[in-house]
Amino acid sequence: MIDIFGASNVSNKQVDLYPYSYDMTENEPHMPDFVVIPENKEQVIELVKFCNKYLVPIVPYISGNNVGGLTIPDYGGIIVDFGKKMNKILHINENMMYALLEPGVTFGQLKKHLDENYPHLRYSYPNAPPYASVIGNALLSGMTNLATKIGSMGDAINGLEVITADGEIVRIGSCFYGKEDADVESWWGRGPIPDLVGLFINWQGMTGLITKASIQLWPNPPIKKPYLGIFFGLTDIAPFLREIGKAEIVDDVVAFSIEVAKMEVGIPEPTRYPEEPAFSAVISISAQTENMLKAKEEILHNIVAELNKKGTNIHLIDYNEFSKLFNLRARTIYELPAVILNLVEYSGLTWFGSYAPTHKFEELIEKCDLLFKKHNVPSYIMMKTLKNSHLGIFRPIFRFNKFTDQERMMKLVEEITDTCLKMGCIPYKTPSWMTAKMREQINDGWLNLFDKLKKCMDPNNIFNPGRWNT
Amino acid sequence: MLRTLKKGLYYKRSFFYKKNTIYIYKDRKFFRLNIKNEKIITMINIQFPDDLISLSLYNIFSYRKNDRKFIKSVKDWNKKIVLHVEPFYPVTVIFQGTDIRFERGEHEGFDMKVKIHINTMLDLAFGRADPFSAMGEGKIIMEGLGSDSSLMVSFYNIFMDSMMTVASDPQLHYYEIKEGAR
Repeated sequence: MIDIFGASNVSNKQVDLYPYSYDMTENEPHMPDFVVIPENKEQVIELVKFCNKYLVPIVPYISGNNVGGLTIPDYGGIIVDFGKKMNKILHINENMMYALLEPGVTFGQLKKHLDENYPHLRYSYPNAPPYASVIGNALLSGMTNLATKIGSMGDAINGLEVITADGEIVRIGSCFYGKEDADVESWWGRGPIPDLVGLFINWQGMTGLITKASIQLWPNPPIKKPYLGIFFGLTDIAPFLREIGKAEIVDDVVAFSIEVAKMEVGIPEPTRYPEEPAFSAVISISAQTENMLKAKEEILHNIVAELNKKGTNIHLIDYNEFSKLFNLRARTIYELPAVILNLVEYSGLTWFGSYAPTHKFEELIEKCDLLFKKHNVPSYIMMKTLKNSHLGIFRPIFRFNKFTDQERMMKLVEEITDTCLKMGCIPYKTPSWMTAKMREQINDGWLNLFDKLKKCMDPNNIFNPGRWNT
Repeated sequence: MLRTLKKGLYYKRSFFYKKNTIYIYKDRKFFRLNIKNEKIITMINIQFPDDLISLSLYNIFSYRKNDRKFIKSVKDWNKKIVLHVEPFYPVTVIFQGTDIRFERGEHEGFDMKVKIHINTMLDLAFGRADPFSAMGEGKIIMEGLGSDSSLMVSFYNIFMDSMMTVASDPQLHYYEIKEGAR
C-alpha cells in the first residue's frame, strides 16, 4: 500500500485509525485495519485490484457525517479517505449548469466557489454542516433546500465516474462517449440511455467507488423572501405541505416541531405548552422580479386562507424580520450550509429519516408525537415535500448522550421505526439494523434481484460489507 | 503583574483590576482603562424563559442590557405588563428592581395590558407604521393606562424602542456575529 499511496498517505497506527471507527450514531464502533488517502483514481484502481485479489473490505469515507453508521468498518479492512486530497472542483459549466466534482468536495467549499465566481448559480444545500460532502449526500439521496422544487440530491446527479470491483473505470451518463477520458463539457445529463447511475445511488458504497460526479446547479434568482409558517393544530402542517407543493411557488419548505426552535436558541429539553403552535416551517420563495414575488406571495396567502376556512390555524410571518426579534440562532436552519447548533449539542445523534406518503402525514405526526411523549423526549420531527409534493419527507430526529442515554433513546427509535415502516415510509441512509427490519417487509423478488445485483457488481463482497445486511 | 501577563499570553486574552485601572490583555497587547471617573453600571438580570414569546422578549431586552437609557427605564420600574402578541398567547413581563421576569398568561393585578398582532409588531419595529396611528386604527389595544401617562412613555421606551433597536441592526447572519460559534 505504501507503493501505491506513499508512506505519508497510509497508516495502521491505532491513533490514526480510531477516528474512523465510530460516528455520532448508535451504531457499534469497529476499528479499520488501515486508512489510505488517495490523490488520484489510478491509486484507487490499484487498491481495488489488490483488495479484490486478497478479499480485503474497502470502506469509502469523506467526512463521516452521515446518520446511519455507514462508514463504520463493520468487518475491518481499509478506509479510503477521499476527503483529504481528492477534493477538487474540476469544472463548472455555466450553460448547462452543472459542477464536476471529486468526491471530497464539501458544501462549504462549493458554496464559496460559486458565490465568488458564479454568483448567478447556486447549489441546493442540505441541513448539514459546511464540512459535509456534496457527492456523499447526493449518492445517499440527501435532502436539499430546493427540495420542493427539484427533489432529492440524488435526482440531480448528471453522471458518475466509478471504479468497479475488477478495477475497471466506468463513466456513466452523457460523459460515456470517448474511449479514453471524457471532455469536462460532456457531463450534462443522465439519459436517454439505461440509467446505470441507479446502480450506485443509495447502495451505500456497496457496488463501486465513485471518483468523479457531475451534479446539477440552479439559477440563483436575485430576489429571495422566506416566510415563517406557524401551525397551531398538531397536524395543520400536513395539508399545507401537500397544497404548497402543488402550487409550484416555493423553492422549499422545511417544517419542524416547535420544540426544535426552542432547542436552537439554547433550551436542550424544551416543553411545548398547550397554547404554543405545534409546528413551524420556513417557506423559501425566490423570484426574478418584484411582480413575480408578489404573485407568489398572493398564492401563498390564498392557500393559507383556504386551509384556515377548512379548520386549520395557520399564520404567515416575515421570517427575516421575525428571526431578528426572536433569535438569530434560529436562522442556522435557513442559511445553509450551516452547523445547526441543536444537532451538535449531544454526543449522540440518530434519526428515522424517510421518504413518506404525504396522505399519511397526519397519522405519522400523531403517532410519533405520542411516542415522543410516552418516552418523555421532546418531539423533534422535520418534514418536507419533494418535487411539488409528489412525495414527502418525514424525519424524527433523536439527540442523546452516548454513554448514559443511548439505551433509553434506542427504545424510542425502534418504536418509531416500526410504526413508520408499517405505514409505508422508506428510510434513507439506513443503518443495517434498520435494513434488517425493512427486509422483513420487502417482497422476495426485490430482495433476490438486489442480492443478484450485489453479487454481480461485487462478487467478493469487498465494498463496504455489512451494509443492507450483505 | 508579570505572572498575569504570562497568563494573558497563555490564554490569549485576560484582564485584571488595579487602582482604578482595568488592564486588558488582548491580541498580545495591553490596554489600560481608567475607570476612576466612570459611573458604576447597574446590571439588569433578565430571566431566561422557555416559551416562544418570552424568548423573543428575552432576545430583545438582552440586546439592550448594557444600554444606559434602557437600564434607567427598567430599574425600579416595578410594573407588571401583559403583552399579548396575536395569534400567540399573553405573557406577563414583571419588572422588579433590577430583575425582568416572564410568566406565561395574564398575571392578576397587571398594571398595563397591550394586545397587538405579530405582523403589526413587525411593522412598528421595522418602521413601516407608527404606534399612535396603530392605536388609532385599533391595531394596538391598551388597557390599564388610567391617568398615569408615564406608563405609556415607559412602555414605549422599554418595549417599542428596544424592538426598533434590534430591528435596525443590519446584521442578519448568526455566524457573522458569533464567529467563535463557527
